[in-house]
Amino acid sequence: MSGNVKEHRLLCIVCPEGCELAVTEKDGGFTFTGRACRRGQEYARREITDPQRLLTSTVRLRGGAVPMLPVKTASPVPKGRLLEVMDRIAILEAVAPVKLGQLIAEDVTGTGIPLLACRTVGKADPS
Amino acid sequence: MAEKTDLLIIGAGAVGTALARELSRLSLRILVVDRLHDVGGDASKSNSAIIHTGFDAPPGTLESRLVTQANPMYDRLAADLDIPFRRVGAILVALSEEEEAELPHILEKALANGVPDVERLEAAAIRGMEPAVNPAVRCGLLVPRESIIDPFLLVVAQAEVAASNGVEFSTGREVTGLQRHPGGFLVATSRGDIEASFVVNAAGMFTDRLSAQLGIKDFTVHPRRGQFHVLDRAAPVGVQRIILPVPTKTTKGRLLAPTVHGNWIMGPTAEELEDRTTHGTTQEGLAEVVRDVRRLVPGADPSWAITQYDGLRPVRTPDGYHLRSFPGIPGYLELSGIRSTGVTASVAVARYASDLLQQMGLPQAARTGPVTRRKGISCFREAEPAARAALVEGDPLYASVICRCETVTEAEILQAIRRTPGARDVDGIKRRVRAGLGRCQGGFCGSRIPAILARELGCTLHEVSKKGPGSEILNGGTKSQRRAAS
Amino acid sequence: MKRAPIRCDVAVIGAGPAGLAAAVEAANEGAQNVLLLERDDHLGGILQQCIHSGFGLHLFGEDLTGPEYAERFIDRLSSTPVRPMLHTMVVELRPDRSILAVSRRGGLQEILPSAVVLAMGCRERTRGAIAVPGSRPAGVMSAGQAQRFINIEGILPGREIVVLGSGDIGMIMARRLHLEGCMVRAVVEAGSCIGGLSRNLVQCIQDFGIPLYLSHTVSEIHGQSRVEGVHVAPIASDGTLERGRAFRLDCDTLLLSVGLIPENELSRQAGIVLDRPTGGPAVDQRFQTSIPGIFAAGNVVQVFDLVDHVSACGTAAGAAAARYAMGKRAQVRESAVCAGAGVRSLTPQRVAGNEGMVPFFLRARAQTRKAKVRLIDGGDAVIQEWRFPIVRPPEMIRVEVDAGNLPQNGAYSFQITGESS
Repeated sequence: MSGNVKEHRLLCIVCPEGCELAVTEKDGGFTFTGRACRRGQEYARREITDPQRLLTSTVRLRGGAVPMLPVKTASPVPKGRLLEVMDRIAILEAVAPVKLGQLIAEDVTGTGIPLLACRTVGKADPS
Repeated sequence: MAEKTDLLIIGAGAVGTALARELSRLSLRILVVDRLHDVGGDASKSNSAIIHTGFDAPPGTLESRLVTQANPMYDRLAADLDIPFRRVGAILVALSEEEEAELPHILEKALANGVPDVERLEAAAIRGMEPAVNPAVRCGLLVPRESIIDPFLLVVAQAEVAASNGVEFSTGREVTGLQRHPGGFLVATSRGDIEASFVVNAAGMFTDRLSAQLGIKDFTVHPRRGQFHVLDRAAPVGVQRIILPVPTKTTKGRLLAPTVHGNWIMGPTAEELEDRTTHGTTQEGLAEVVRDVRRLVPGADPSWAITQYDGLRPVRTPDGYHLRSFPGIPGYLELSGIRSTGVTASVAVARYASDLLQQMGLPQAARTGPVTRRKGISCFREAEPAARAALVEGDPLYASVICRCETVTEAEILQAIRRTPGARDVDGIKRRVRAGLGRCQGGFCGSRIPAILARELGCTLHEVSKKGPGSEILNGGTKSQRRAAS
Repeated sequence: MKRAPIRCDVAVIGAGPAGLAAAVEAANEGAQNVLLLERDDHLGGILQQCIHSGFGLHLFGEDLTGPEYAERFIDRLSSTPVRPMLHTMVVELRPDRSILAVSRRGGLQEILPSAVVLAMGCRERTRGAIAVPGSRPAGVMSAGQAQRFINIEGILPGREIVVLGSGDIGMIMARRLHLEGCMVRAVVEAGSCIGGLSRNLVQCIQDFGIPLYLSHTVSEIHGQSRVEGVHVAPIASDGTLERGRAFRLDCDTLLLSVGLIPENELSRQAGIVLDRPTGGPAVDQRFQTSIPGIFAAGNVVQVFDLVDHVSACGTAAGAAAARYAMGKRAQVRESAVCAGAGVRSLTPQRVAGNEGMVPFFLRARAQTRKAKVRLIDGGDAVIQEWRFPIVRPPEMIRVEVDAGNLPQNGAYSFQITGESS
């Protein structure tokens, strides 16, 4: 069984050094050439096998003091699914008043990650 | 069914609006059309903002006569129109022997042009009057009555007076056809036909195409572009007057001038072009401006620039002011070749044209009680404390500041929109009350002004434009529309 | 009908992160009347449109979004007696510290504070300031303006975007607009490396395959009414523009992220001495400006990269303003500290007295590896040295100095040496 050999180059963002990591992935194992500290290796492994990102966006807010509500996923989302999750967020609407941390959608990824409000917004001033 | 009018003026730049105001004392139906979205014209609003004395005009020409006639009119006119105007004076700076040798000729020309108060200055006097001028200055000329104005306010103020007297302004309306017709002319436009007994061609860059429609093909017009830097009010330029180089045959040269709003402008270049409507600055042109101006005033520093602009001078071939009627085409008046001194001469051109129109049989019955003066939009920023309190008392929106850099209030912006002819786009507001013209160039007010326009004009935010249809500020749609579309 | 002037202990101008922190701390320090003047319709300043995360890692040990970070301070504020005045613009600040503010609801309002904290933040450098040639169509705006349109109003500025400048705001907006379905054609950067944090290079640019052109700039804007495209040209190593190699990118929007400038209209008006390298008031370690009783904090002093540091400055300034207002004004001698070789800018520029730890915030002139940051005295003797594996201009350097090591009336400077890359 000759394994799949894949070469990766990535910019490490763990510390200000910003090392360019050279990683060879073979049979599920990783070898590093050149500079790669322990934290950098952990970062590289995660980024290669399962990169995740926190997603922040806005949803329309009905009846609020401001028209848009900033929101975020409660935990990071697989990087490859960001645009898909954005599509799911696009059809959502929130209703004022909203408290920071409030649940806007229970599952916005299809894998059980909720969408939370990032701001407390009261109802629109009638005046 | 064509619209009918007694007199149609094509072009709402300096000449067209001055004429509109001049003729609005008559009891006539007058319509002014312009292809652009707002009054102000094209070249009329992108120039060096100088009211010339005419000292350096070609002597013995109609241009020279009209400019020297016009210059003294501005003190009274600016007061009547309540617009800023300052007789700052100009100094021509000679830095070389050749330039110095030119000065006697320029002095002679000034006298021939009826500008007797031009005087020679020696280097010491120049350094005393303007310490920021290049210390290598040899000598120069002082032109005491060269002045500065806001050319857009000059036009809009005259348009407001004309409108108060019943003149109608129809902008965003391009003339596409002009032909003779029983009783006068049939004019096709992008927004419907017009029947007019008299037609005045004040169309600047397009005067040749309009006259050609009537078979007059003895001239052409092409653009000569001039580029400018505008410097921040806080720039340490330190000059009080207009500083000019010794002129050449094609251009008055790159100058440095204060503006009536406290900024400085540097420019213009002179590039012969073909495309009559394409505006744009170039790296080479702007660099040339900086180089040439720094020769006169070494401390002029482009790092203090807040914006750049360019103007397209409508250059006539054969050159010169041509204000003419045609025996074979009764009722048609062409005002072509007006450039370089066009803004200055406009008010004298208006009188001259009015006389010509009288000779051409334009009815002279007077309107009763015509408006001749106009009060500008009261400016919070320049008001004294007591005046500010009164403004706020009269209108609480004078305490709602929208433009931070220029301290322009919501009250002023609303007046700019509600007057006739009023602002209908972001640039129109900028030109009337200076909102968005300051050092942050709309950074703070940029989201607020479109909202105010949308509310006042009864349109959506997406329909608010910078300078008319096609220049909408926001054309991405709402975010949900975008996600749905992609 | 003239409104009576409001007297107060402390007036804070601006309710962004610096102003919020200052107002909270001034109240905590015991100032009786603290006014918080804000021109916008909300508290939190620019944070409310910074919906991305990365805020509060130092101060709270959490990765918060801008609005969440702002709310931490808004909540603290609400448990103080501080009076926020929204929709209120300060139009005059005078050397005697008196203020003229205007608001639609309140009209003209004179304010007589015992102490003032300036927290007006900064504005963005414009197209005109860098003289990008070409036409002047609709569709050219700063990245921050676009951020406001999309995150506060919910409207997209355009559909096909080019971003000039790879500062953090530019990169973050590139990601934001891409996620919202726009076509982000490129981020164009005049420098040879990005102008912001590496984290943003990865998570805003590389994650989405957005083309990044380093050592390039926009050489011309096209389109008479609306942007139709831009020309992008490489910059040669000697700094000249290689126009012959310029290429066109079609787009309908050009966003500019080409620098932030501390917003010091009011400071200039009051005659406060400004520091050229920072663009903001020259301050001491308590953030007092050249006018006693007027303090300044946050981006109005120097453009910071971490809001956590902005809050720390605001807190220090608020406390100092409160103490000043309550009559606690020690007359101490001062030392001057300036930016030496390798240092683009630093605050504070003065150290008053010789007690306590003084945090300094520096920006390096150039990327430097194996960097040595040194505090030296007038005779070039090294007082203190710090080492960093790497320092980069976009990342502020924070070091602490014991004021006891700085005999008063001295003149000191910071320098940075190392291997430039």
